Amino acid sequence: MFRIVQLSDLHCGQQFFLPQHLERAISETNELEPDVVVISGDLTSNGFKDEYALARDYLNRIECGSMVVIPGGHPLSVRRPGTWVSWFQLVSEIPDFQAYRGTAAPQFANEAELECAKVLDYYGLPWLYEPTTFVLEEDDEGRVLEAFSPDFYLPEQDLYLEITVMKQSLVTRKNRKLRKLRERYPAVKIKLFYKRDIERLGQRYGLKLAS
Amino acid sequence: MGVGEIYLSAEQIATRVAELGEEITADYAGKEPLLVGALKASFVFLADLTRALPFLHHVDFVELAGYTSDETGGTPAVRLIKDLDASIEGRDVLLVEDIVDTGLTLHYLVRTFRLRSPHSLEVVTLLDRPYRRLVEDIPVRYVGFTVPDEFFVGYGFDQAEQFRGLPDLWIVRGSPVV
Repeated sequence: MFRIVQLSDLHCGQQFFLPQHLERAISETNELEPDVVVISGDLTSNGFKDEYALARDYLNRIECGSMVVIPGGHPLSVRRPGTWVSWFQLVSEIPDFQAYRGTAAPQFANEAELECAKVLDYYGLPWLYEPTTFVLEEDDEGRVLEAFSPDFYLPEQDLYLEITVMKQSLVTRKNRKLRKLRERYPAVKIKLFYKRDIERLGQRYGLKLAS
Repeated sequence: MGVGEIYLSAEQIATRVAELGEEITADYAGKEPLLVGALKASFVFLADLTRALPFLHHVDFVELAGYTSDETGGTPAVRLIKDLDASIEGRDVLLVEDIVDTGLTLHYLVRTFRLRSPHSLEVVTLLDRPYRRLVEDIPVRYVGFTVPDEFFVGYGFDQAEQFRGLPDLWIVRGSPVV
C-alpha cells in the first residue's frame, strides 16, 4: 500500500491561525507513516519571512522522506505564480559551494541535507547532489515501479550518502529500500546518516565529534 | 559532576599506550620520526605516547579551525590555524589523533601533508569509529581502541572545554547540552 497525505491552507501567521490544529495534523500524519506528504499551499498568509520560518518549523516535524510543498498562489502570487520550488530552499540562505561538482543548483529538501553539504564543502570533499537514480523494481514490460535517488555522492570516495530526518524507529521503509539497492547493485557503496549524525558532523553543539 | 560513567580507566589506557609504543618502536627502528599532534584533544595521548617511545623522535603540533555552522563567525573552508614549525620533506611523519570518525579532518591533514613530500606518513589514533567513516583513503595504521557511537570526555576530550584533565575516559550520557 502506498500512502499519500495531503495538507493544505496552513496559513501560518494569520490572526485565525490556530497552532493546536496544525499540531494535531502533524501528529496524525506521522502516525500514518505516509510515503509522500503533499502540502498544497498556502503556507503563509502574507508571505513574510517569519511566517515561512514558522511554517518550516512545523513542516520539519513531519517524519516523511518525500515531501512535495507548493507554497501556494496566495502568498506568492506576485513573485512566483504556480512555481514548484523546494519549500526549504525558499526559506533558507543557500551559500555558494566550492566543492560541489554538479551543474544545476542543488535543491535541498531539508536542513539536514543543507548542513551536510556545508560540512562536506568545508572540508573540501567533492560532492554531488542526487546525481543518480537507481531502479529498484520494474514490471514485466520494464516500467519502473520503484526507484531510489540517494541524496549525496562523493565521487572521490565512490560513496553514496542518504540523509534521513526520520526517527530511527520510523526508518524501516528507507532501510528496505537500501536493502533492495544493495541486493540489486552490490557494487554500490551507500551509507545512511541520521539527522543526529549530521548535527554531530556539523558540531552544532560545539562538541568535538566529527574528527 | 554528571558526566556519566568510566569507559576506559587510566590503567587500561596506559596498558594500551605501552603496547602501541612497542609496535611503533619496532616499526620505526633506525628512523627518527616526527610525531605530529592534532590539537587540542590529542595532547594527553601524545604526552603519554612520546614517553612510551624509548628512541629518538621529534614532536610538533598542528591545529585546525573547527567547523562551525554559525554564519557570522565561521570560516568558509577548513584551514590550519597552527602549522608545523619545520619542513617535513623526506621525514617520517606519524600523525597523532585523539579520534578518527568520519575521517574528514584527518583526510584534510593527510592531503595537506602529502603535498610536502614526507618520506612516510602514517596515523596513530587513540580512538576509532570506523563504521562512521566517509573517507576511506587515510593511512590509519595504529588504533588504540575501537569505540561505540558515544560522546567521551576526559583524557584530553572535552565538553565545552571542560573535563580534559580527567585521567580516565568517560562516557557522557543523555543529550549533549551546552
